[in-house]
Amino acid sequence: MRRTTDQSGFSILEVLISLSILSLVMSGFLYALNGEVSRMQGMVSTSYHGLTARNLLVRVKGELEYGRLITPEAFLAEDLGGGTTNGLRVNSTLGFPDQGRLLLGPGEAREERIGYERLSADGMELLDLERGQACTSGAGHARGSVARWAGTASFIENQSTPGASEFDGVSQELFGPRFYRGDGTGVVFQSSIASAPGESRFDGTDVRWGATVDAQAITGACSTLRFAPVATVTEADRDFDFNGDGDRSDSFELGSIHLRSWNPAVPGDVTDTALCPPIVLQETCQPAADLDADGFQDPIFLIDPRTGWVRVRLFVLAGAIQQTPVVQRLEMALHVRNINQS
Amino acid sequence: MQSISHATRTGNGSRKGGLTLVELMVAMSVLMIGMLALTSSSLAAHTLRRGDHQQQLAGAALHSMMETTRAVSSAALTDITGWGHALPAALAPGGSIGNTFDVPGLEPWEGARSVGTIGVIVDETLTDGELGLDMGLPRDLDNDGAIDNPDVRANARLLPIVISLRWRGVGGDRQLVRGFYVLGY
Repeated sequence: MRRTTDQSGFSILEVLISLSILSLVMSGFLYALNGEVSRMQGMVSTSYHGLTARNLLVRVKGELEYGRLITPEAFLAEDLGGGTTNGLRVNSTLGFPDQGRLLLGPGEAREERIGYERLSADGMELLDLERGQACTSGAGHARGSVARWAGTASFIENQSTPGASEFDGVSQELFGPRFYRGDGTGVVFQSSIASAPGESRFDGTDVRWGATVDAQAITGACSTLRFAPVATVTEADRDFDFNGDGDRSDSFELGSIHLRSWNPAVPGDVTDTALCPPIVLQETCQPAADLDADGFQDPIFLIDPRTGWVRVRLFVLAGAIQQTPVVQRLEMALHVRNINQS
Repeated sequence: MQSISHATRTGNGSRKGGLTLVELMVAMSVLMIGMLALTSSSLAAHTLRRGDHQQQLAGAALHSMMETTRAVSSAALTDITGWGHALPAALAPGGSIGNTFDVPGLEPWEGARSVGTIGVIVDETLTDGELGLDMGLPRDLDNDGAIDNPDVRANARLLPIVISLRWRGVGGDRQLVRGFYVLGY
C-alpha cells in the first residue's frame, strides 16, 4: 500500500500574504473606482451648472437682441454733501433703474458709489441714499457733476492712449483689449412691446418701446439685467484661489443675474426675476476685477455704444470635483440691433 | 508547519490541491485587464470631456465673432467712406477688429499666428468651389444685375464673411469654418 503524501496547498502564512496583497490591490482598485465615481458625480454637477449658465446666456440674448440699450446718465441738479442720505436731485432719472448704484467722480480722488432705493415720482430725484458703497467713501460732489448708473460698462471714445482718469479698466476681448468706464454689473434696455396681446409692436411707424411689468406690457417702462449678490465666499474658507492670482486672501460675492422691470410712472410697480441660481462670481468691492489672472478686468456686461455690441462674460462657481471648486468662464457677444439711447 | 490543503485525491493517491501558477497568473491577468479597462475608460472620458470643452469654446468664439461682425457692419452703415469700404477696413489687419483673433483656452495650429481668422469676400465672381464653402457663390453682391465685379466695395449691398477657427485638439488638429452674409442696408 502506498503512503498518501499531504504536501500540496498553501501554508497559513502564504495565504495571509496572498490575502494581504489581494486586499491591497482590491483596496486600491476600489479607491480608484470610488474616486472616479466621485469625479463623475462632480462632473455631472458642474455640467448642470455650466448648462444653467449657458441657458442664462441664451436668455440674455433673447432679452437684448432686439431691444434698445439705454445708458442712464444724469447731471447733479444741486451740490451733494459728503453725508447726505435722503435724496439726490438730478436733471433726469430717465432710464435709471428703480433701485441701484450710482457712480460719481470716476477716476478721481472723490470717486464714490452711492446706492439708492427708489426714484421720486417726478423723475427728478434718487431717494434713500447709501453713501460710500463698494468700499468707496462718501465725498462731496458739485452741481453739474455726472452721475452714471454704475452697472453699465461701456467702451470709452479714446481707445489709443487714454489718461488714467478716463477709464475704469481694460477688458481683453477676442479682437483685442478695450478701455471702458463703469462697473459692468448690468445693462438697462427696453423691448419692443405690443399694446395688447396679438396687437402690433409699432405705434405708427415707430417701435413701441417698453417692458413687461406684472404681466402688463407698459410703454415707457424699462428693464435691467443685473448681477444681484446673495452671499459671500472667501478663498480662505474654501482653501481655493478662485481668481488664480496666487493668494487665498480674496473675497467674492456669489449672486445671480436678475431681470428687473419697472414702470417709471408708478413707483413700486416692479417685476424682479432671478434668471439663474446664485452661481455667478464677482470680487467683493472690486466690480469687474480680473477673475482669470490674464491681467485684464472682467466686467460681466460690456457695451460698445457706437455699434450696439454687447459682451456678457460669466465666471460661474459650477460646483466642486473632489472638494476642489470649479470655476467656469462662459462668454457671449451679441449685436443689439437698436443703437444706444441715453 | 500546519498546512491548509485544497486536496483532491489523484490516481496515485497523492494530494496536489491549491492554486497552480497558471491559475494565479490567469487570475492576476483578469484583474489587470479589469483595472486597465477602468483606467482607459477614465482616460477616454477625460479626453472626451476636454475635446467637448474645446469644441464649446470654439463654437462660442465663432458665435461671438459673428455677432461682433454684425455689430461692426451696423456701425459701418453710417461711415462716410461707405459701408463696402468701412466693413472690410474694420476686418483688415490693423482695423478696429482685425482679421485674426485668439481664443482663451485654445492653441493655434503649429506655425499659425492665431486660432481665428476673419475674411471678407469682395469678389463676386468667386465660386463656392474656390472658397471651399457652400454659400451660394458666385452671387451679385453690388445689386447691379451682373456677377462680374472682382471688387464690389464701392457699391456693395451684401458681403460674405468667412470665420475660421483652427486649434490643436485633444486628438489632433481641429477646425471650424462658417460663412455668413452681412447686409449693407
